[in-house]
Amino acid sequence: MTDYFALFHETRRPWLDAETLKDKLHKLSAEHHPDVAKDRSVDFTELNAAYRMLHDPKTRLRHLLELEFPGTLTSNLQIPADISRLFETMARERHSVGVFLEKQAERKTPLEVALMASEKIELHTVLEKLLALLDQKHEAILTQIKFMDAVWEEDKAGSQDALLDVYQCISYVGKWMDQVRGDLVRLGEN
Amino acid sequence: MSDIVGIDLGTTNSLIGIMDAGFPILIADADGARLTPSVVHFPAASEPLVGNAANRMRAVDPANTVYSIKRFMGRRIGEESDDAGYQLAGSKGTPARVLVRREEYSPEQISALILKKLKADAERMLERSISRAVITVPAYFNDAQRNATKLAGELAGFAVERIVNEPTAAALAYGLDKLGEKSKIAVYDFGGGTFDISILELNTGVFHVISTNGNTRLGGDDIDNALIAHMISLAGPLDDSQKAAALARLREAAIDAKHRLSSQSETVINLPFFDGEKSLSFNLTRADLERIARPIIERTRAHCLRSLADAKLSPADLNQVILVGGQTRMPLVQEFVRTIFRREPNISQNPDEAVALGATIQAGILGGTVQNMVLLDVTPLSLGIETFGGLMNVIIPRNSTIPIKAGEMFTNAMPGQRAMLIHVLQGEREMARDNWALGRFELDFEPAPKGHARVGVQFEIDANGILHVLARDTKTGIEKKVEIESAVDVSDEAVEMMISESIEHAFDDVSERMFTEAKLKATEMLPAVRKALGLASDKLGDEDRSAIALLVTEVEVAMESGEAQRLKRANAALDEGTQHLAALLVERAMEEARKRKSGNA
Repeated sequence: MTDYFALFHETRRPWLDAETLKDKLHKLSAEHHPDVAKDRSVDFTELNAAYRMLHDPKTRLRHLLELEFPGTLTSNLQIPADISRLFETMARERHSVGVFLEKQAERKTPLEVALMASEKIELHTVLEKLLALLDQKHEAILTQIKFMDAVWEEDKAGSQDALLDVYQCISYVGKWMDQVRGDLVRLGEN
Repeated sequence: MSDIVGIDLGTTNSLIGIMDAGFPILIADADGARLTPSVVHFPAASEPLVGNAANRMRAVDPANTVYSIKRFMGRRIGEESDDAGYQLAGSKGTPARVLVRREEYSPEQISALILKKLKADAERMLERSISRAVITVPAYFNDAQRNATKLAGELAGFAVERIVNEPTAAALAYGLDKLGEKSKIAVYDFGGGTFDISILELNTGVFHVISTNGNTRLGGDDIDNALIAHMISLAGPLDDSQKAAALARLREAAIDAKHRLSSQSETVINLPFFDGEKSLSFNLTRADLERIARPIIERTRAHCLRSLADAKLSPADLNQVILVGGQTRMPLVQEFVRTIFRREPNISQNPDEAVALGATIQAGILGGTVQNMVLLDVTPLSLGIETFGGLMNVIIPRNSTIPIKAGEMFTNAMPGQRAMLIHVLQGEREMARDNWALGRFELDFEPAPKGHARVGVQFEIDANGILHVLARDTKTGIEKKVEIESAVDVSDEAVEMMISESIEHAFDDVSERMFTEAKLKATEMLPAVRKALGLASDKLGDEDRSAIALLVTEVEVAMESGEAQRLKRANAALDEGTQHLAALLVERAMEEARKRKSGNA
């Protein structure tokens, strides 16, 4: 398997700063992008793949798990207990948004849509609160990753379970944030 | 190394530029004009005319004058409304072709004529021959449309060095003198036929596109068409015998009026005998035009929201919103951008020229005359293949930085299976059939037990946003380039369905169906109006209330009459007449939400 950490000249570790990583991509692009590269010794699509893998904490953790502890990711992922309450809230609110959007899609005239405005505004507020909640959780997980990063070099083997747990949490929370953002866009469209 | 030119091949106008001593300059034609109308006229007995000369023939000889050809690039008949003044050839589902003077032309050929004219103008001014070009396309163009544009360039005698996205090109022009800065910008590009929104990060000469969204069938042309429909509603139905000529005159007048109303608040449209005996003369205010244009401009909102969501940014995170495309001259468009992005839009760029200047800068980057600049662009649409159950399996997600490669392994599902058909798609919908079919290819397997024959397929989207597919047998190691049968050239199920649908509908009783639809709308509308009046009638004036009551009566009477046209008109009038009421309702809901919020706090 390609070691994307190595490809991007980073050591294998849980935490990488997003802005620093992006600056690095920009520097490497100025050198190796096919439009400007003096030589073709470095394949830009590989750098591109490495950045994609590393800049998202979720895929970065997955890659780290795959490299350091091969085989751990084969088991079915479950929603960690830590975020199961959040999942219930999310499922409920998203369901009501789905029902609302379906109802709104049946309304054909601007007046009928306008009649649903207060319900829509209410849902919008609810979703925004939910997104804030998810964002909070997301930040907390990122802090956790930073903590793990601090002890990583000393005790890799001991970090395995915690790493797997955090990977699952951030996968779910990240996915839910995307879904809620998508719902907000759909609500805001007309 | 020979020069590379930059070309903006626009729906309405096209431009060409070249780098001169480190700066992009645009090249004027023999008459001194930098803007070449993307119009081609075919005279009876001489070579085609392109540009201003052709544009002058639009109202005189509409049947032999082709405009806005860009919207047919990479498209099939039936996908686009064929309300052009010129004739289209071919049956539904076949690649779009234009029929002029009994000759068929592909959109690529027409575009090539425009490109050739630009090439000749550039060669005349530079006094040397030009053979390499960078050509721009709307960011939201799919693979077929990009390939068509590339082909047009080749037909015109260019080696097409790069297909570059229009909003990205505009960003290059904007950022040329800001290379030291680090900022986040959005480019709102509303042109004649297409709309794009792109969000970029600028960082010491690197132009990094974060997300893009758009609609390749939404542009200023739609506003022209809506205005023409309004003019026809005032003038009465057109005489069928010379409809094309009358429409061409209406279009000319509509465009003129639209342009004037960007700087003045009122104008006169005056068309004596534009349709046989019929004349039209009326005052059009900016408010009238805005009422007509608003629903069209409103359609750009969803794309802006999506691109922000994809970039995971809020409007406050942006440093600038750059306006390009001629349609952004309209004050209502600027006002709209102001409300969506909650900031004053940046109008420092010439909306007609920024894209061509950017294409020229990209040409300079490729040619080596521009240093310290590099563009990281993205693919606008997710690329995937059809899997079991007709679902789309995404292989390269939208907004991935290009060039990009992604691998996928395929294996035989049955012992001895020799081949497998792969269906390649572009789009964001879950069901394969709802996405754009790029085409299909066949993978060959060596004879082997089930699951043992393995072929790895590499999908590569190059820096032009164009797909290349490579298949590699893992056992034999044999690699081969896969030719995708273009969906545009091949009739597949979707096309057959489109055709059978159209036949089905042909046998329908059109007027009966129209009445049923209109009646359905009316039965939904009337209770909604009653409910809305109950909620907000205290905020309406007496005049408004009685006006709405009259409109309601007309709908009720029309429903009894059984006349489809009358009911449709009555519905539309009620829709229009209750706009104010709808706005009041939304205001009331927002007011209540604000009260609740402050009550909670």
